[in-house]
Amino acid sequence: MRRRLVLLLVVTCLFTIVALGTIPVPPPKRVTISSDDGGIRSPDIDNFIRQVESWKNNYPEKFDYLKKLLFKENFTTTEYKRPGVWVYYTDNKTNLSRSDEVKIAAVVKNDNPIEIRRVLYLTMEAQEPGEKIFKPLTGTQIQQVNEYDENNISFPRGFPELKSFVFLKKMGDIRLRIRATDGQFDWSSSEQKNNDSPANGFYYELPLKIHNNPPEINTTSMAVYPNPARWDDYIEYRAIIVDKEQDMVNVTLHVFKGDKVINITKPFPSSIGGSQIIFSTKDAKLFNESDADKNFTYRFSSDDGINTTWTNISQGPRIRPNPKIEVSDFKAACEDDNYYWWQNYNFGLKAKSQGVEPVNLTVDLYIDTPAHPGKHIASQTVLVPTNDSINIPFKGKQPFDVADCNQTFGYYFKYSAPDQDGRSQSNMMRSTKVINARLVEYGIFDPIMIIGNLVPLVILTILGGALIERSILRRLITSMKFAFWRR
Amino acid sequence: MVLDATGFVGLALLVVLSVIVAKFHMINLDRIYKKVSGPMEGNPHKDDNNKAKKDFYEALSLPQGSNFTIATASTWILFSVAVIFYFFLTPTIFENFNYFIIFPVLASSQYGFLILGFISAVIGWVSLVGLKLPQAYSYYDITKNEKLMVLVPWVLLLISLIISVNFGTAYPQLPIWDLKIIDFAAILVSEGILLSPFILEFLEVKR
Repeated sequence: MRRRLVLLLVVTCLFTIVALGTIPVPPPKRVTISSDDGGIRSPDIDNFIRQVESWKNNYPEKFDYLKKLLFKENFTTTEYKRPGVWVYYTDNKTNLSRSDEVKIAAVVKNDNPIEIRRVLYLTMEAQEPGEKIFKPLTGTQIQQVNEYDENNISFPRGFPELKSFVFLKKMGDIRLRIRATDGQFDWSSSEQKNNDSPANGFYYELPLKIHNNPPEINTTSMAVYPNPARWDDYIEYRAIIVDKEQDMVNVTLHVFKGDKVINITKPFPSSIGGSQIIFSTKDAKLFNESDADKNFTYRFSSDDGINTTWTNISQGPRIRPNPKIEVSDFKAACEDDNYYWWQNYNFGLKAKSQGVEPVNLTVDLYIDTPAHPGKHIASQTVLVPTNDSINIPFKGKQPFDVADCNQTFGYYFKYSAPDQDGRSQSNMMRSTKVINARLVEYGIFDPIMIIGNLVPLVILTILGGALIERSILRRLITSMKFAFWRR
Repeated sequence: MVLDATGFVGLALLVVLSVIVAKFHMINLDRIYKKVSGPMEGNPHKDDNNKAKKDFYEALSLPQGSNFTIATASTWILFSVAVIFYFFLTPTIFENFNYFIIFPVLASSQYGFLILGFISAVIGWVSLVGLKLPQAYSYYDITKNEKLMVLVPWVLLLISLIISVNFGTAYPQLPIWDLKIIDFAAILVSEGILLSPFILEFLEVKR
């Protein structure tokens, strides 16, 4: 039944087609495109040919370029050739420090037609000093199929991770090469050694010599402050460390105490210009009471993980002796407010013993002026009691001379026993007063000036006159005698 | 070196006055010699002019008296002391070249001024002997009143000396009364009086 129905339908269709005859097909409608100038242009093949012919005649150079642009090489081969890869390094410098900036890249020469070129994955490998095998040094860079110039050479493809060799821990010869893979082949630039390099700067393996600039501490930058110091003072050791590689450097302070050495190590970030390193007695207990009145030495060493450098041994600190006296109330004044250089000046201080017994103390007075720096003026010895401070006066001293006129002055004392700061000398105290500019002590009405200077001077002139008179008289008498004789 | 203009001009004035009067003196002697040389025509020494002049001057010399000679000589010595004190003790004249700058220790010592005075007097004495200045007075006829006038410069120079010393004692400040002008005027007038016999003779002969 079904078969009959299908057959009926087919027959019906055939009859319909026969009855209708050939169905006319309308020609394709003409597509018109409005041009910018408002006209209508027909993009048919004739127009295009005419247009191209017009270009050929009117713009021969541009026409040639268009030809070049539209030219498609003949697809001659389907055989894939493995591209060549090289290390690219144009700098002549092969002896480098770890911190020297380097620009090392990879280049590829790919002579395969673009249709069969493959994406390449490039990695830089290094044979580090003392190693026998190459290990990857960088991440992977991708060389696309269209990134070649007209000579089929890629533009240098850098590795951003490789800016210097600061990461190296061993110094010496290093070799670099490029490893490439295209999914099928996996090869390195070393394997092309038998081929010629296409240009300068292309290396199958790039040999470099890497050296380290060790950290340095200049001896002249080393200092201990304060020096001298009390054993329980806060004491700082300072120095400037310079490292061209800017490594994190482990610096060690070595304090020599007789046969013993105390070492303190701290990491410091270094810099090219120099960074200050400071160790202090807060880092470790360096001194105790028994170190009083002793001298110590120290040095630094610095280690950047590759090299260790040592400074010279420097002096310091001197630990002051333990105090025996306490001094205070330093004074200096002229006997009146004129502060003439010839006047008497009074100096003084107070002192008491800090121990359980009185101290036989010798005190020296010094003054300090531009003309007389550190001039010793006087000395005296006193017995300093334990209970109360006593005055130690230096009265009626004439410490200055005419060269000190119109100058300020300083003064200080030296003691035979250490004071409360462990020092045997006071600070320099400066007077706020200026020594008067007047030079001559004696006024015009001073007896010294009248009797000692003016009167003898007048007498001197009279005597001089008399002396001349005697000689003239003698000469005159002689000449008169001569004249008489001639007559 | 900073020079005080007044001081520098003053020094020049004293020197110029001395030079002019020295010239007057030479002219005076030449005139007398020319007047007298006529009667000496037959002199065998006529050709030797210099020797003749010397002999003439020796013959012309007349003693002016001990007191006058001592007075003039000592006044001239005092004059040289006063001049040196004026220029080297007054701080405003040679600001950077004075006794206190060159020899501060000596200047401020107890007898610093006496030492400078002694050196000045020696310089004066040597100059007088060298220039034969007191002897030059013996060629002139000086009246008693004129001789007494020598005491005036002696007093003036003493005043000048005291003013200069007063400047020195106050150095580097200035004394209350700045009598620098009086100081210099005293020196200048003294020099004029001391040289007056030569000037007067020149003017008289000219008349």
